[in-house]
Amino acid sequence: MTTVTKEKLNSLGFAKPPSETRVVVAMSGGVDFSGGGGIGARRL
Amino acid sequence: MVAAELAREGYDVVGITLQLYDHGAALAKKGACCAGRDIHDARRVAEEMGFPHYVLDYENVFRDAVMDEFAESYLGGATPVPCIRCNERVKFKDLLGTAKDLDADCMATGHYIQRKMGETRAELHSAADGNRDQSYFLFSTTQEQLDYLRFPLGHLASKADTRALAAKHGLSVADKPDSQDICFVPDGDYAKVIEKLRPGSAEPGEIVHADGRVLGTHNGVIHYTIGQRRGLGIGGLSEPLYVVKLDVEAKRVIVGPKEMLSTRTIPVREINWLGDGNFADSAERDIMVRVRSTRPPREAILRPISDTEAEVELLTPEEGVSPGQACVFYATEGTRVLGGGWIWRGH
Repeated sequence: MTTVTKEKLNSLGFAKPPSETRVVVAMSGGVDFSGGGGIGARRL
Repeated sequence: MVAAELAREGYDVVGITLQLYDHGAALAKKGACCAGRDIHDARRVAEEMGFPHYVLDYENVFRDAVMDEFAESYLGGATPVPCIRCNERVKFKDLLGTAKDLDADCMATGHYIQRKMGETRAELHSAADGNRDQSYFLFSTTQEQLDYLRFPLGHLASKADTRALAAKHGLSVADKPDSQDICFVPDGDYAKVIEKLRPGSAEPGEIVHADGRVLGTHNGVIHYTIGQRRGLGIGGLSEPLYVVKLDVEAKRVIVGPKEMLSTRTIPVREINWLGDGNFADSAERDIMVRVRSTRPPREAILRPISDTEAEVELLTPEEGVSPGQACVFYATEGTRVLGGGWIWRGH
């Protein structure tokens, strides 16, 4: 069994270079993709 | 922001923005996620950073999976949290499936929550910035989804750090407002949205004291919520009264003194368990719970009834616990999120 050391992992946790790591990013135009603050959806 | 940072680090980034609801309304809704203006800005960020970006029309999926249930739940007198359902049924389901179809190794979002590797598997943890923590809205993330997801902003100490990072990249979104609202409720008027989704559903009825006295009339249960005091239209009484129950079938709004809002035992269903071991294997567990997004975690005892149902006993009673809200489980020590479930009226 191959043991992957933590040092070899990229910032997304994969044992390969970033250029070989495909990541789909859920984007909104805002700074993040937070999906709304969403308090309980009833008038409070 | 996440996309730009990952692109800067050299990742093979594919950006996707979902168009979730009416584009016309979206354009008018500044600051909500996935609004029309945001789609435009996301596309611009992708152009600036040089990675592909796609806009996917998920309006039908969103309407079926999120908005319809929101309307039904609301009409049933509950207090739904559509943002959780959106994460659960759209973003972390269909969009995640799209990411896999694109042969992506993982999917990243800008949610303020942390994914940490535990001894045996990935764990969900609250955000480093407690003021921005979104764990309440992500309790239903399954282990399989968590294995595939990444949250690169969860470790940041504050949103100011995020904006500073965006500014560092020269991104035009650095000064945009936070996304705070439910995206399809343009002005915070939930009842108006319900009336639009289900015309004619707001039926008048009586406002009744818990002791049986009829105190007045109302124009529809949808205009009231558990714990509401103001705007009841029943002034002139000696004691302050709060909405303590919504009896949808009888079209009655039940009001009573504040102490009637106090709840100690909460029935919870549709449980997503992210803790160790099988959920139902322990008769009870000491945990912390949040019963509303805006409230701090409270000590509680979790008693499983089945793999998907439980009873939560609060050590200190809470006011205004409402069916339809989430009850999110946390470890008693540290930041780990143990899952959660949906509050309901019980058997």
